[in-house]
Order: sequence, then structure tokens, then C-alpha cells
Amino acid sequence: MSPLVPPASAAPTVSLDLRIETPENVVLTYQLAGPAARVAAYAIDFALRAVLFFGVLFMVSCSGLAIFLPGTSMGLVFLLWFALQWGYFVVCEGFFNGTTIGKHAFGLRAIHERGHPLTLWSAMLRNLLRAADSPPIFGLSPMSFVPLYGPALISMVLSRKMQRLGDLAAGSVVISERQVVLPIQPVILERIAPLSRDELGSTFVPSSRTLSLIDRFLSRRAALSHERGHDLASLLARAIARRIGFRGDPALVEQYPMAFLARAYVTFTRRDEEAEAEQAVEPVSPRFASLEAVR
Amino acid sequence: MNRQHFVRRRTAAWQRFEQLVRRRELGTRGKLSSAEIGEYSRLFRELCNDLAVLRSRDWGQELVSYLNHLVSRGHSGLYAAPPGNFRAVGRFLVSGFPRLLRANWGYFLTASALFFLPLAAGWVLVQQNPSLASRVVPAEQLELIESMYDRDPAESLSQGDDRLYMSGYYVANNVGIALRAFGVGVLFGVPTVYVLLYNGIALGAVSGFVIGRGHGDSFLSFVVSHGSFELTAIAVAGAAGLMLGDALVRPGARTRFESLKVRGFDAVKIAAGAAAMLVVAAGIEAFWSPSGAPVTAKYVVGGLLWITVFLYLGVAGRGAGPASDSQPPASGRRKPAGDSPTRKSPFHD
Repeated sequence: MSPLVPPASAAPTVSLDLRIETPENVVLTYQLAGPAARVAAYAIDFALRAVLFFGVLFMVSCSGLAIFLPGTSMGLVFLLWFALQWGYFVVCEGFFNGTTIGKHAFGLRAIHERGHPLTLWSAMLRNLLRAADSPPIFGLSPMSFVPLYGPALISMVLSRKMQRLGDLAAGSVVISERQVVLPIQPVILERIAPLSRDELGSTFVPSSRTLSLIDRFLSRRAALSHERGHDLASLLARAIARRIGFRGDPALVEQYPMAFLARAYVTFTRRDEEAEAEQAVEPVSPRFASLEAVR
Repeated sequence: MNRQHFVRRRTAAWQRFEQLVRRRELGTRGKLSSAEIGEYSRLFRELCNDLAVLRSRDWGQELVSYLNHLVSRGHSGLYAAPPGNFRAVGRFLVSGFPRLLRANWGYFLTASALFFLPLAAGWVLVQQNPSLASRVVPAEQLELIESMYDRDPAESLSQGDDRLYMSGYYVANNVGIALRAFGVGVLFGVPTVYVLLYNGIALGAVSGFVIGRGHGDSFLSFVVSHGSFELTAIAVAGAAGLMLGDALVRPGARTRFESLKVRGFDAVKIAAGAAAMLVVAAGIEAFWSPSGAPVTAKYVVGGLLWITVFLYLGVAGRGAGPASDSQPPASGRRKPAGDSPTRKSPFHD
């Protein structure tokens, strides 16, 4: 998959990616959450609320409150029922940046479809419309206790951004967030010796894409078994050895293709860096360090 | 420039930004100083640039994902709506809500007609012929209701404890019904119309039945006070539901979903106002309506409450700028000038 950004007019494809262009003209991608994760998150929220409600009901009926003030305690139970049924999602999503406990457990978050956090009103709108997303089923008395999100599922399947009716009205989407960490660099390239000039038989210089491919391959080699990594590296190592007319020890290419790739990478990138260092000039805008790094 | 080189030079900035973002996400506990806010904004723009660079090179998905995640967290920090406060809630209830309702008066009128006309019709018909009531409400329930008003008023005085019970019940039940009537409106308004008609007919039938059996004073003096807020609020919630349905049925120049998004926010605000009115009604219904006050006093207070509701919905917040000024940033762009509140009335176009 290419990280290159296709033009916005590209034909809509089936994708879980939501693309948002920010005012800074950078495209952010979010991964939309599918029905399975959302149902699972809902199940957790449902169970939590049920446990809380029946827990309080049990405690109230066991405590002295129910004996001395039976009306007050039942009134409180009714209020709790109401708060859990209508208020839980609104308060959670409105005040905790679009997450509920169940959503948090599955790494989900409701956000506005333009990328900013939900406001209290949009949290209220998308959650009050649960009434339409899960209409009560009459006639199935035991089932009507458990909300069935039929219209919600149909709407999610039909809409482009997997939105249920409440999402469509509030302009919200549910995204799946993974905590991503900065990829570490497992190969210490400084210690690797570049290929000597005698070993190079041609003036061919691998493209920066090829070099970047080597870099990415080496940084992820722990993800592969040794044999598989060796096989894959051999393919690339042989091709590169042929193009650069490698005249050194052929055993290096055959037996240690990864080491060969690392040396080839160092050879050509270090050259780049030396050339860069010679041309180094004062940055135009020292405050905008990002531009400087690209230079 | 290669990937290693780029990562080496930029990592420090990324990590610093991650720190700032994490503190911002903590809210008040991680409050940023003004210098740090400046740094946040500068680093954010830098990271946007880094992300654009990364996307233009083939440097691996992990790096893109990492920066994408960081920038999106920064983005939601930078573009978050200011937190709400209690003053805003108060302002909304005192002036924002009634003004918004007046701006959408056509829906309120339609919902009132759908609710109060069947109520009146049911009332008149059943009062003349009480046996009709059992066609709408089961006979056992009718007996139960009749027995409530059959007693000597002094006997049926409820204690403070019972009143708390009833207030909890009224909030859970009535507000739940109103919010549901609003929410289902998105299904082209059809269920909202059904809820309004059904509740109108049932309430009318019960009223007619109880009065037809000769409990007029005991019944009317009970319902007149809380009826002011309760019945009006049901029509208000119905109006909000009809707004949702109408946004889909007649989207005007927008696409249907776009129209739903734009008008949905006004609708949910009106529904929230209806919920607040019903909480007031629950308080009156539980504490004042069953009290032992003389019937005349109840009629006087009830009449005053009806006037209060009319004044509140009709006058409160007059003359202070456009009604939907409180539009949240979530709805994206401002409405075009052509979409003035009057255009939203179903009787206009």
C-alpha cells in the first residue's frame, strides 16, 4: 500500500479509513470502527449499567433507607434508571472526549467527522437518537429489555462512514484508536562499514525508494523468522549486487544478505549525507525547524 | 535527506509535542503556560509539515501512523470547543430555548395540533359517552384511575416520602417518553406523529372518562397545575421530533443528511428544553398537585402556571440577537443567509 495521498476526487472505495483535511492543509487519516467493535463496546456499557443499577437496587432494598423511607429510596432508584438510560452516554461522551467506559476498553472514540472533539450538544444528539437506532420491539417481552440496534446496523452498512442514525444527525463518527509509538531503530548503522570503491563495478546508484525499502526491511527484520528474512533479503541483495556490479566476496551476498543490504545502504546514504553536509547552509527560518530537517 | 536522517533530526520535537499533548489531554491538571501554548501551536504546525513530508515519501507506514496519531491528537486539542459552564446552561434555559422554539414556531404549532386536538376530541366524546374510553385504555386501568379520584381528597393526601417516590417516577417516565418522541423523529417523523396522536387520544379519553363519572373537581384541580408544563413540554418535544423528520423529508437546497445535521442541533436543543420543562412538571406533579390545598387555590395557581408557561415560551429572551447564535462549531459552517429561522416553518415554503 502506498502512503502517497491520492487526489480527493478519487473514486470512493470500500475502506475503513476516514480522511480529514485540516486547516493546516495536512490530511489526517482515522480508522473507522466497525460494527463488531462497537457492539462489543456497547455490551460492556450495557453490562456496567445493569450491574450498577441492580447493585444500587440491592443495596437500597437491604439498607435501612428502604424501611424508613420506602418512597424516597424508590424515587432515587427511578432517577438512577433514568440517568443510566438517557444520561450515561451523553455525559461520558460529552465530558470525556467521546469515550465511554466500553468504548475506552476497545480503543474507540466518537469524534466529529471533521476531526474535532464532540461538543456536549452533539453528544446529546447522537445519543438521544438511540431511540430511533434501537426501537423497542413490541411483542417480544424478554427481548425488549435488551435494545436491538437493527436500524443502526442497517444505517452503518449503508453509510459511507459507518454511521448509525445518531451519527448521521450529529455529524459524528466512531474511530478506532491504536496507541502508536515511535518506531525504534534496531540497526545501528553507524557501526557498519560501507562497501569500498573497489567492490563497486558500476556507477549505478540505487534510488532513494530502494534505499528506503532496505531501511524499512532492516528495521522490521525482527518480525520475520530468520529463514524467511534470509530468503527475502537474498532476493533484494542479489538484484542490488548485480546492478552495482558487486566485485567483492560473493559469499557475502549469498550467506549474509542482510549484512550486505545494510552495507549497501550505508554506502549510498552516507554519500548523500556527506554531500549534504558540504552544502549545509544557514536555515532560512531557524524557528521552523521542520523545514530545516527536510532541506 | 533519508529516513534515518529525518527521524534523527525530528524525534526531539515529536517527543516534546507528545509531552505537551498529553498534558493538555489531562485538562486542568496539566495546564499549559502561555509560552507552552505558543510552543504547542508552533510544534503542531511543524508536525503537520513533517506528516506531509512523510506522506510524500515511501518511508514506511509505521512512521506515518505514528505522526498521524500525534497530529490528530494535537488537532483535537487545538480545535476543541470551549468547555461549557453553568452560566451557559442558565442562559440557554432563560432565553436561548424559548427563542429557538419561537424561531421554529411552525413545528410547535403542528405538534400542538397533533397532540391537543385529539386530546380535546377524545375528551368531549368520552365525557358524553364514558363507555368509549375502554376502546382506548384497558378497563382495569380505567377503574384504577377512577379509584384515584374517587376518594375524599383529605384521605388521599400523600406523605413527603411518597412524593419523592412519585417525583422520581415522573422524571424517569415522562422525560423518557418525551426524549423518545424526539429521537424517533429521525425516522421521517412518523413515529413522533404516532406518539403525539396516541398520547393525545389516551389522555383525552382518560380525562373525559374521569369527568364523565363525576370526579370533575378532584381531577381537574389535580392536573391543572402540572399540566401547564407537562402537556406543553410534550408538544415541544414532539416539535423537536418533527424538525428531525422534516429535515429529511424536505431538505431544501441541501442533501438530506446535510440538512439533518444543520437542523438536528436546533432540534436537540429544543428537546433538551422540553426535558427541563418536564423536570419542573414532575416537581409540581409530585409536591403541589396532590397537596391538601383548597381546590380554588389549586385552580388559581394552575392558571398562573399556564400563564407563566405562555409568557416563558412566548416572550422570554425577546430582542437579543438571532436565536440560533449558540450554534456549536460542530455543525461546521454557518448557515447561509437564505436559511433564516422563518424559512424553517413548515407553513412557509
